[in-house]
Amino acid sequence: MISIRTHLLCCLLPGFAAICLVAGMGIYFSIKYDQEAKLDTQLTELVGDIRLRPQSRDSSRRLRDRNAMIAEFQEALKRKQFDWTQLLQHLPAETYCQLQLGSPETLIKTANLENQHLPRPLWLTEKATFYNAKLENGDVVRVRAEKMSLQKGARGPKILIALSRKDLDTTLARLSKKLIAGGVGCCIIFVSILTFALNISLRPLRQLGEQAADMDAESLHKRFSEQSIPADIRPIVERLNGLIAKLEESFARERRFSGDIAHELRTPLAAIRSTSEVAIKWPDQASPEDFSEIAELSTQLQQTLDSLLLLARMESSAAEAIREPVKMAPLIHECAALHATTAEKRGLTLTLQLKAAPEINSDPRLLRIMISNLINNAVEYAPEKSEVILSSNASTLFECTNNAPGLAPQDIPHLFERLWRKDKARTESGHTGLGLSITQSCANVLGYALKAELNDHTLHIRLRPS
Amino acid sequence: MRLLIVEDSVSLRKPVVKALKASGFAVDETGDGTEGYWMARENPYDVIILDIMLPGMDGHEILQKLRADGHETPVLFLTAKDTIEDRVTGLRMGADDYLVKSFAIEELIARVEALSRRRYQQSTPLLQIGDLTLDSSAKKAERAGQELQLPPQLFSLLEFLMLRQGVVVSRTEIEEHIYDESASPMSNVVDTAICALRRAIKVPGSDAPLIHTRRGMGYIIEEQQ
Repeated sequence: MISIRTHLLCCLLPGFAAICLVAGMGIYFSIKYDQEAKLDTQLTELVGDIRLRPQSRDSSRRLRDRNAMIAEFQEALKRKQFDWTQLLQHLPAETYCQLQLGSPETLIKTANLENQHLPRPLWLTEKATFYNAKLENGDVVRVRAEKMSLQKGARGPKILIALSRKDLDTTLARLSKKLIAGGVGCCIIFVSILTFALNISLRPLRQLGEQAADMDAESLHKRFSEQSIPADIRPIVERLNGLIAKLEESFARERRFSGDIAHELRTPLAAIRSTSEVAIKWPDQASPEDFSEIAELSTQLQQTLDSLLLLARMESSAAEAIREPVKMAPLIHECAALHATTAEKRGLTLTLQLKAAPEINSDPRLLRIMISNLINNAVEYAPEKSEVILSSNASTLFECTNNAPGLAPQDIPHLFERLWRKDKARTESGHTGLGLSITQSCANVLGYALKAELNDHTLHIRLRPS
Repeated sequence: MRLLIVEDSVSLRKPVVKALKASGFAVDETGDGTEGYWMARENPYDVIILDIMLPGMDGHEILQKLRADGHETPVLFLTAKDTIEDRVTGLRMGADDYLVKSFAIEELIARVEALSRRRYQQSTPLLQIGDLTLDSSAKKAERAGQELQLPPQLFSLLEFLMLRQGVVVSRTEIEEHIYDESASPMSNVVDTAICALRRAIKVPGSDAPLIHTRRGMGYIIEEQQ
């Protein structure tokens, strides 16, 4: 991809050059046309003079009616009483003139023609024709050729009159040189102005590029400045800043998570270590209780590690869901049975509303994990002696309802966060706070929607095919 | 020496309390932050062992409030937060020591002892009065070159008196520093203990009384002029 600058230059420069060319040619040809027209007029005037001059030596007679003079001239021509030579002598010095009279044709030329002939077209008409010719002496001339008209169809003389166009040509040549120089100069100025303008306009982009080069994982708190950015690229910069903010947030979340994990793993380990060390140092105070304590703590640690591993696997792309027909009702029964003892201990009533439970195509392992986690959550956190309702139907694959007097509406968005617990201190309950995030990850893998709703201290968690 | 430990994990708290008690400290314990704060305000502890992640009030908050109230009690943070930032924050906030889980129980005990020494401006673990010497870290007491066999509580009492040597220590002070909450305030446990201690520090060849009673005020340990 070529740069914007090169692109603009390649597009604009030929265009501008073409404009200069067209303008130059326009000027040149219009001036040429004008000058030639002037010359032609001069030639026509000379011929007119010839016609008007002949018989009148008396200047006063020039004022007489023009038509009468022409009539007189033509009379004289007819009578062949015309002193052409004398007439030709009256012409201005540099004029070339050639007359062809009568039949056979007699040629009368001005002195400057010497032995040359003015070139002429084969047929001459009464309408004058103009053309350019080159003489043998090297002079370039403009020629006016005409067959003079006479009354009553008599054959008139053919007049060729020419003037040198050397001056005209020199002027035109000089003009064209000036035009070319001017055109090139304009193009150069144009390129420099364009380059300058581009530099100024593209500077914000260049600065943006430099800022972007400085960004790395450590500097996510920085943002691109949106002030000196032109309106065209502002939306891009705003989006960029939004993206960086999201990245920063997600990095912070990861850091928090790994800090929390450290705590989750360290506390049971510290307890195991201290219990064993104390038993070693003060053996008389040791009891078998210590061993069961250590065993329990190790199991807790194991469970935490397993949960973490499961979560990591679910979130990585390695998770694959199998699809097979699964009946929801027996699956839910199975998961509920696993928690029956805990529920009983806490005096909870487990109500199952599974009459409309569907049969779906899904992954039974992931379903089991999800439903088990949700039931576990409800059974652990519902207040004692309350009711936990588990239901399933075609639109809601699984719904778990329990009393949650301790939850507030602002807690709901956090429910599925990793290691989030209502009570921040993570008191020991065998619970890591990973259960709901694992459920969420499983739901994502299967393409289901998991939503929590708090209605008047009752928590509903619903699993739906999205 | 009387300690307070505020740690929400029961399985960790139990062995630590056991170890500290076995080392001769009087230990009060709780798993709740708010309760821990109130206990720290009510009772004079020599060292407070504080977890940071606590229900109710967290460790940072407790420390800040105590320091704001003017309590100079040495505080040791016991926590799973191990990053440099966490340590620096904790120490800058006014903690005297910082120990990361999981720790060796020996190290915890040693650090607590060092902090309690600091409390009494003792730079070495050795205390002496007359020909009676006491080594706090080795937990040994000698008189005239002979080792004294003292049970932990009496050792603690002797240590306390020697740290305040030449100063009258009231019965209440002794009660507060040697016994935990479970000691009944009405019993004459202190008198009994002093009596037992006097007996214990008498050795053949050196039996000059060192612990004297000041009626109505308390006890004092000093060489008799």
